[in-house]
Amino acid sequence: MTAVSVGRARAHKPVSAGGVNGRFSKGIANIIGLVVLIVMLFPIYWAVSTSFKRGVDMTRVTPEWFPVPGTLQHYFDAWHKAFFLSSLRNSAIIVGSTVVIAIIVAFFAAVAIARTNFRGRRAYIVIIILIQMIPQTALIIPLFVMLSRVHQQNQLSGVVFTYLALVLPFSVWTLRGFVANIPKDLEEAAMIDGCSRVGAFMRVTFPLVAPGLVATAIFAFIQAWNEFTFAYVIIQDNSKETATVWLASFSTQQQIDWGGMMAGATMLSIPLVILFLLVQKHFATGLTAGAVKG
Amino acid sequence: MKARYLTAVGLTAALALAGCSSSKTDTGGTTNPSGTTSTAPAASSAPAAAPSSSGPDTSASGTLTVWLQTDAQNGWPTEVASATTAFNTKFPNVKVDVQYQTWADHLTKLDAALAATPPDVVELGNTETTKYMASGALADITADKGKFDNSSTWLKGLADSVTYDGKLFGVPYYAGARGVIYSTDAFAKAGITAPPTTLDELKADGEKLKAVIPSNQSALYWPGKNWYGAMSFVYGYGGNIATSDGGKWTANLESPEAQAGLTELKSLHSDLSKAPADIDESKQDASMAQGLAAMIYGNGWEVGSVNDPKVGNPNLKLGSFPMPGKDASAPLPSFLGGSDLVIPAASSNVAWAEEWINDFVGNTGMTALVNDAKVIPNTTSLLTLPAIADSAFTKAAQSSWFVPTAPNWADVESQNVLQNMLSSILSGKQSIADATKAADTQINSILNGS
Amino acid sequence: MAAVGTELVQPRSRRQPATRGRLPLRRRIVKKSGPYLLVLPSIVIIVLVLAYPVYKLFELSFQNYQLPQLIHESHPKLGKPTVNVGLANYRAVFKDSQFWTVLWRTILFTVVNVGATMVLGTALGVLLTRLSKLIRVSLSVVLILVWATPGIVSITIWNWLFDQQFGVVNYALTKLHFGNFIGHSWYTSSLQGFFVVTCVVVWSAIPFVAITMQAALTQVPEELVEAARVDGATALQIFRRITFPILRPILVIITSLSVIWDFQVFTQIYILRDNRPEPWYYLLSIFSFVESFKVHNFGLGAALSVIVMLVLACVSIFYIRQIVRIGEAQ
Repeated sequence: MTAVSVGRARAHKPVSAGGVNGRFSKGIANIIGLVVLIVMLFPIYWAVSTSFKRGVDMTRVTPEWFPVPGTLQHYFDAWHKAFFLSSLRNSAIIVGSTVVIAIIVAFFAAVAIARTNFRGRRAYIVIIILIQMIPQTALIIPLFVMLSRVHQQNQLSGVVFTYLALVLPFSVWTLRGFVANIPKDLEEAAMIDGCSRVGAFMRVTFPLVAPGLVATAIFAFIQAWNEFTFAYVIIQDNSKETATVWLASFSTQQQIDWGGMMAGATMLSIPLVILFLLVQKHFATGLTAGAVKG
Repeated sequence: MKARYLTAVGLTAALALAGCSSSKTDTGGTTNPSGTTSTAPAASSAPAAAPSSSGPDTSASGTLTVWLQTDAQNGWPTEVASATTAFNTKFPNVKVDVQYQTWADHLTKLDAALAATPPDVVELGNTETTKYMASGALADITADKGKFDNSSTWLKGLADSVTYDGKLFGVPYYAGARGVIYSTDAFAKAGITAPPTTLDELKADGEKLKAVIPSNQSALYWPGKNWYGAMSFVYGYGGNIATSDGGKWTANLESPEAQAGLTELKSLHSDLSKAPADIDESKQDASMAQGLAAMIYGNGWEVGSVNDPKVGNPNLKLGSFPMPGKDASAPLPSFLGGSDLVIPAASSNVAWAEEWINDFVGNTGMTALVNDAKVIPNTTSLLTLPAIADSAFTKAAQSSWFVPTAPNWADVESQNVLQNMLSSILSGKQSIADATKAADTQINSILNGS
Repeated sequence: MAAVGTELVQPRSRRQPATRGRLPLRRRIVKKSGPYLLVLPSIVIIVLVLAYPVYKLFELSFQNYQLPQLIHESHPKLGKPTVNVGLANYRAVFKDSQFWTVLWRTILFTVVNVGATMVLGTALGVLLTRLSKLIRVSLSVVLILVWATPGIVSITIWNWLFDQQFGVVNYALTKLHFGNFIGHSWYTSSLQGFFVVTCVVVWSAIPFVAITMQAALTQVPEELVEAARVDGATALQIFRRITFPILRPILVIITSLSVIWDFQVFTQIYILRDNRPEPWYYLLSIFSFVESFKVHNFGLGAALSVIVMLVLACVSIFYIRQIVRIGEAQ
């Protein structure tokens, strides 16, 4: 068992977290990191460079590695394609609401199962896990019928409710892991020093869980952002469609405007990247801070 | 049962919530140009016999929901708008709500809507209609056939796709036919001055091409799984895929005629094509743009996509001719692709739907569509329009075939029976006799299954 | 079961009223009902949204429910009425030899994909903790980008990379003298085809595992590792004795999630095979979808979905037990 030394949380940079071979030089790690970065990035690079390629260069027997000569026509087409900005707005509203509500609700539930022991806790955990095993496509039609009976079909809120139900089990489960990883002793120490239970929680545990909250929020965000089938079936009006559905409208029976689609996807990912860059500071500093001493 | 209890709880709560939510676009609501709001939802639709030639009917009010595919959104949005304008001169207080669907999952979405509140007009691919007709999902409009312009001259391939059990369940929308698309430069280089009119001439021309084209280019690029093209040979030699005898289907691919057609195809393929045997025709336009094909057998719109600067090579000069048949009397029958417009049986606005459909694909609407988008119209009477009269594809459309109108035909397609059969024939894995026999067995069990 | 957690610590704060160690009634009610209040919102949402569809799913599996029945249900004048057929759908599934092949294939597929994802993802997570700041942030951004890429885009790109005629992979392999891959089809052999699918699945799944493992690794206490190293422990021993036990809960959680997700892989194969997967690429999810929507036999599709759930539950019963045990130990 780990030797527990009770102390306050302190920020420090772990030199070698996890205790893997200390003699492993940082330089080699960085090189490997770069290689991994290039490999993981390559398909995305290919997508973005395709958005700049001329049509005849997209599928060539000898691949064109750099989009030169290129064209901005695809971006022009995607920007002017019907419902681009509205779909971006709809996705932002739907996914934003889903994530905010889901994180709050999931956090409460995660605290409950991680920190307390109540009757039915085991059943709750099992249900949370079992729900994720339901094949989602099997639920589409009954879900749609139900939503339309309460006039939630073709409403952004209908989609939000659906996404909440799909995202909550996973969020509760992940957050539970983060909350549980923080020893109770820290709270207890704070309470001995005079804090109330809630106060101890807010002052000690919450800051430590913050990176976990951010991580879970990002995960939930991405799952909701990329969802297609439910968004497509529930929303009837093109003006209310989400960004993912908008991307699918680049294909007709005759052909698929790949350049336009890649350009559209690139444009859609820009707000995501900005969002992540803004948030990752807390994410990363939280992680590098390491926090838990002992 | 706990589930039932939970359901009751859930539904009660949900219904309570419903009272608070405002529905922004309920299909029964009304907005109309003149600003006056009427009260009753769609119950005021006119009965089916109401004539449309009298003055504007201001008593009719409600919403007409139309689902078209993205092809209309990208290709001919003006014609859609004109249809709505024409419709509104007759019914000024009915709002026409056109929503564009993607091809991906659109049947899933339709099924969900059919379980709740369906739209009033839906575009379906002509190979998608049979299952819906057979299940009673679509409105029977046999009695109103006369209301639609040109209904006596609808293209057979499309008309077949909206007819079931002798009754009419939809209106043909537009068609696509296949022809041979070729590179004029290659033909000039090979000294071919006129398009071939028989399959033997085609083979001869192919040999001439082989002498002058680059080694990686096929004279006739034929992807092995191109079953639409392959079945043209079956039908062109007098065979068919399957026939029905009082509801029992029999597959006929092993008949001598069908096998003869496939033999001819195989010899064409081995002589003239370097395309892989296990891919389908979806990327053949890209292959042509990349210089891998002197000729392809494709849809009319593929000419556009080969030349489209967004996805292809605008510098390739192309021509087209109908795929020649056994002899010079008729081209090889072409598969007639295309779409139909259907009305769900549960729609409460059948009369309005019929009016709008006629405004969209009736004589005026169809003519505009042909002139603008160069699609093949739903009627033979418009095949002579100058915009398309000389097109190889229009000529090809005059002799066409369609898939067996069995309720389970879609299952044959989704299980890739024909594609797999062709792939093994053209790759040499199986003899034509064996492959067709195996395919027939499979088709029989699928078509006659429950 | 006593509410152990809430009453374990009774701080002797001056704020507490002196009632001989027992809290006043109101306080006790709040304390006892606290947990229930915390879980209530999540239960309400999940029940509201999923109760009816899940109930309906089970009900459908016992019915002969096809397109005519679908229409009939909301428009009684049309279509045909629903017929209860008891276990007929289930019997049809179990008698179908294709089902067993597909089931076995799905299990195999899940094992391979989860294994690859966990190994590579964890390795990447470890790597992330050892990088200098710039590269770590860049790599994190790339990982998030990978995970944020819409499925249709990423699967299409992978499809192009492995394209038979125009694929970069074939070109590169040939140029690197691994043999002549020009015109090589990766889908004729199902083994190679599934290799491509695995590439896509693992590539998309690694970010989640890597980032979560990185976060978990930062919670391993530094002093312990230092102390152990001072005492002469090797890297492997440190990993086994110190790191791994701390990582185990997170590993179990992520693995169980990966099993659930990979078991239900659908879109990747569907799009890679141009919306027409050959029967030897069928996994359970595709098999069920084809039955439900392509063939419009919703009853049979529902029975298949229920079976998928049951199989998944059985296959992960080991994990579930572990998870519940972990949940209780903390």
